[in-house]
Amino acid sequence: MILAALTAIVGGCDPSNENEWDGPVIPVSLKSIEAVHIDNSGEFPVVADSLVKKEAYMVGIKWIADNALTDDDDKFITGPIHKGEQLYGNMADRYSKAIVCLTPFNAGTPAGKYVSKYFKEIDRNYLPAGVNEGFVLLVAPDPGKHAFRVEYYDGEELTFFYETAPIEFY
Amino acid sequence: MIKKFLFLVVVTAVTMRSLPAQDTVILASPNAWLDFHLVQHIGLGKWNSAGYANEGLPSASMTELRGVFTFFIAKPALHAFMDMGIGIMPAPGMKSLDISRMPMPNEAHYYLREIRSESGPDKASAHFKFTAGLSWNLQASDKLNILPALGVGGLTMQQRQFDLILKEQGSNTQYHTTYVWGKHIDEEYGSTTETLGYLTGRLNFKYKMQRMSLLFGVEYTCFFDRMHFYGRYSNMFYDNIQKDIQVKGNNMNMLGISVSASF
Repeated sequence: MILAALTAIVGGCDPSNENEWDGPVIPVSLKSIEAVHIDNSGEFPVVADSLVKKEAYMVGIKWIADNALTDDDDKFITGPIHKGEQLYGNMADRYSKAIVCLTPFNAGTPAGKYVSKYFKEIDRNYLPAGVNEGFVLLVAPDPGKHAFRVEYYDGEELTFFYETAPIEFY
Repeated sequence: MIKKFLFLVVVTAVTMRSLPAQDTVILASPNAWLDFHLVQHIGLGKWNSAGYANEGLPSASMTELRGVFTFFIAKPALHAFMDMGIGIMPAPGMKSLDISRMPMPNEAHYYLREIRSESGPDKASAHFKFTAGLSWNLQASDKLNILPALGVGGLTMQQRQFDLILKEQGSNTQYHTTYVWGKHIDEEYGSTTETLGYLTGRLNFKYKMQRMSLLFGVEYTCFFDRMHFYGRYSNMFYDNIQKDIQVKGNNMNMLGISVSASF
């Protein structure tokens, strides 16, 4: 009886029983992108649509995907991950990103020039909710209204792009 | 205080016999004996003059329980001793990281974005202590022996470290920041537990009573190793070092009072 109790205790403490159920693996593909302005001057970044401090500007990217994640875990059939399938978290990693200024950036950078070198990608844990990628601006432009075009390249081929609305920098 | 007194009573109740060399001895060898001492050390200064650097370390006092093995070298009075003990130090003044007290890369205001890792004591901590040296037995009277002693030893101290991300207010700038409290501030050293060397002088008084002996002692310990503070700020986007801070520690001195009883 003691042996049975010990077995039950050990069995109940089996670490394999404590593994959480892994969520379903959902193959997804990127359909398009959307860019938003982000104000990163405070403790937490927030999506902005008017005035942003030029030293604290970030452009955020939202991914538009097919087979997007839902809260209904039973909807999709789980299966093995085959080579080439993409998960929601990394489906944009295969693309190279570039940013063009649609307005004059500063005295040495006219409209239409690539300003990718002035941006750096930020850790995705430091983004507002709903934003999947973020690129902080590390070189302050001239004050005034600015707009950017974000481009995603698959190799040399331009696959997606999005032009932001103008934003006022101060 | 009551807890320490009860602890002393328990310790003395299990203390082995400790007799002068002229009378009976404890161990099989007639020229050696073993004592257990309870010692309270009090720091006579601070680990570091900078407040944040001092309060990241355990408070400068220690309650130690040690076993002292003493053996004769040259009769009638010269002998050597070795002791090992465990000391408990109180928790640091700064139990959790308070960035408002820490130095910053510049005059701007910073937010604590994330603490990536932390290590080292944030509560009362145990430290291993060992000493070796020489002592002299002076018989002041039939009942009183005076034993001055001089020794060298080491005290283990665990390094304390925080790795965090600071975000500058009004800017995209972020710093990967490291704060370290330790004896070695060389990044490549790698050890998390270090030993602080010290010199110690002791003066023990052993009083023989009818069925037991009481030992009372005072000791002064001077650490010749120090605990320093080190801070580094690296720009996360350019991966370059923005600022390094090094604050040298002080040589700590401690005054101790020991008690022991043997039956």
